[in-house]
Amino acid sequence: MRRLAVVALVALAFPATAFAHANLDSTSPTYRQRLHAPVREVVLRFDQAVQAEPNAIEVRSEFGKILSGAARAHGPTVRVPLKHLPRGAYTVRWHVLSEDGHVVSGVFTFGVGVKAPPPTEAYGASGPTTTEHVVRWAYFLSLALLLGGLGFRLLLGGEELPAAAERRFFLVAGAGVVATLEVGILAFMLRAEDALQLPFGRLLYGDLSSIAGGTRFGEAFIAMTLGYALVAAFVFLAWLTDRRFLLWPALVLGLGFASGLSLSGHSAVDAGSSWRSELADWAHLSAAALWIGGLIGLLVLWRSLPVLSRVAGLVVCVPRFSNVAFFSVVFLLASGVGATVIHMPILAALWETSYGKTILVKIGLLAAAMLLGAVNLLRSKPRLVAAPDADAGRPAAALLRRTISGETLLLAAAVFAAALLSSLAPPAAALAKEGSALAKVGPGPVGTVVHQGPYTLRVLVHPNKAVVPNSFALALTKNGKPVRRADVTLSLSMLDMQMANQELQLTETRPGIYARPAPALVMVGHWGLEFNVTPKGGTPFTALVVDHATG
Amino acid sequence: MLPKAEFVHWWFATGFLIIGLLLLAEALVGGEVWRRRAWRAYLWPSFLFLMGVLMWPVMVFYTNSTIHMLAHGSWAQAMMLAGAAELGLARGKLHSPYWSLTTAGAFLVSAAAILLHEQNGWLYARAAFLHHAIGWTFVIGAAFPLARAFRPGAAVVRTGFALIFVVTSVFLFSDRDTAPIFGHLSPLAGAQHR
Repeated sequence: MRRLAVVALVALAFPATAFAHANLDSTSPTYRQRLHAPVREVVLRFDQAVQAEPNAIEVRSEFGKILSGAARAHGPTVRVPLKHLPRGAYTVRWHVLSEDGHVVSGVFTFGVGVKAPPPTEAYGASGPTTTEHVVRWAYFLSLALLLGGLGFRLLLGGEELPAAAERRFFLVAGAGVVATLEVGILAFMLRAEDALQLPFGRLLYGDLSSIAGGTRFGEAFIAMTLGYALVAAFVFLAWLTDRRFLLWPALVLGLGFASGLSLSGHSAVDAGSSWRSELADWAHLSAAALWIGGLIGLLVLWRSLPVLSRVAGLVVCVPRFSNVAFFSVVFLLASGVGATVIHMPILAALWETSYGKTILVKIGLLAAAMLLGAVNLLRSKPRLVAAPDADAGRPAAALLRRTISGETLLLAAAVFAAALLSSLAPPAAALAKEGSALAKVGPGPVGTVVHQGPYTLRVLVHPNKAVVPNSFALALTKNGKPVRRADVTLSLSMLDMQMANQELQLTETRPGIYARPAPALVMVGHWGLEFNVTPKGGTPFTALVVDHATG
Repeated sequence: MLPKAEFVHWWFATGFLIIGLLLLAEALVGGEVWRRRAWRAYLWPSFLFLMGVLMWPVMVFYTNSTIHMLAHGSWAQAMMLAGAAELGLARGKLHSPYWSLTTAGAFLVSAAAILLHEQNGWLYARAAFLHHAIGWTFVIGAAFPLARAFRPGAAVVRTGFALIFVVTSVFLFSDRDTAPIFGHLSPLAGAQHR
């Protein structure tokens, strides 16, 4: 016993030479730093000595080319020399061995002359998976359960409910807020897993700070987790103290923090996004949550009321809810139409792009739900209100229950479409220019002749495959003679989804032939190749060709 | 920007100490005397619930590893749940004494999280020793809230339950190499890393 006490005291009194695994204290370049000139090395500083294999730090260009040498560790510092870094975005992936034997990993990005992408878009990250679509769906449903549940209970105002009904409302709102917190954590981990590209076992020791602090998604995760923890506290206190007014701050905070999704999603980060697109997205989300959650609240009330008082209960709450549902639908339509106008460069994008097709499916589901809502508004509600007694109101109540159940299911499906939409990037603004294309080329190697004014342009793309390096060339002639010393840039726009444009400066390799190899077709799909030509002493012109690149 | 991890440990150690002392006071004077002022019954569960709420910022701001983030998240939820159940019992919103088992469950979940996220052996380092000590204290200590569900008035159970919090606070105060409670520090320990 005495020996054990001595061991305990010694262990407590002496300091730890290492506390668990190593933590990354700082990096050079810093997370998402935009450098004006290339650096010669990447340096990581930890809070304790670490060991590093030669490939402990890997620096890749946006096209996946490795530009780092062998890493070396000196105590808590690990350095890796770099080759010359041309202008562009770079991804740093690192793995070091802590003193306790755990491999700690992380990822961050920086840019040379350009803005660095968030680590969730680092080279190697594959983007949202099916699991993430399902998790987003669960997240939206959790929010609907919470916000709609709170909204519905507040809608009933000072009406006293049977104890069982009151308890179920708090259970629904409680389940909603707990699910929001849990699913939020899961969504964050899935994003981190994709960014770090690690199996779960190693992800446990993955450094998430570059994602939590260096991306809008991470900042939204922090704000929303804290916000919904507070909402959970308000909901609990409202239940504990029987003070329903505490549900108001819970609802206001809940709606406010739901804006985290709008401030970190496509409505905020894509080209062309503004406070209008963010506001439209938030209004859309809030209206949908109040509608769906309110419907669930109505069903909960139906189940909780004794059979004999169901009709009387519905007579009180259905007219009130119908008004809220009506305004929610108006908001939903207005914000949805607004967001579609903002995101769709041309009407045809609605049926030509996967983003547009998903919107059409969502519109179809919402239209069907609204049809059932209209049946409630125009038939069930007047019949219920006009019923002289409970028996007379029973058929209308039964119709109401059936239509509400159907409406809820249709809306849950629409929410899944919304979850898909939030993962898909909207179509590119460049799509609007597609009509002015001089030719549509590909798939396969391209050697197409187009004319622009007095100029003849022969466009060459080889092998015209996505991801691999391609050779882009333009043979420029005027009246059969090569046009020399022109300034030719090639701007590449992804037409199937929103993505940053790339610009390549073509150099004259032979008289009148301007070329450059580059792995610029980074994904399969339709690309707008816009040649911007300034002939020496001539008038500048552009020539757009739509190219279809395959894998 | 962020406070050092040991400072955060000490803040929570202070919270546990307050809870422990409140429970000890209740055990010493007896439940009947303690509840002569009705608000006293809410004191320790409120602290526990509040500490759960305050654990969320720790979870989201200390993201240097996934396992720490998950562990902090599980403590936040365990403390909120246990505090909520005890407040519900004190207020009379919950009637079954078996709701006290929530606290026993919270002890076990917290213990699992603390033991799983420290994968080094007991004597690897002081921090590792403390993690194991806290984890096993909670595993063994879960017997007291378990017993509270069946023998809520037993003095031994009440005192043991209070002492678990006091002991945990002492461990938390001792955590990290700059913990003041054990003074500072032998040169044999090597270079400080903080």
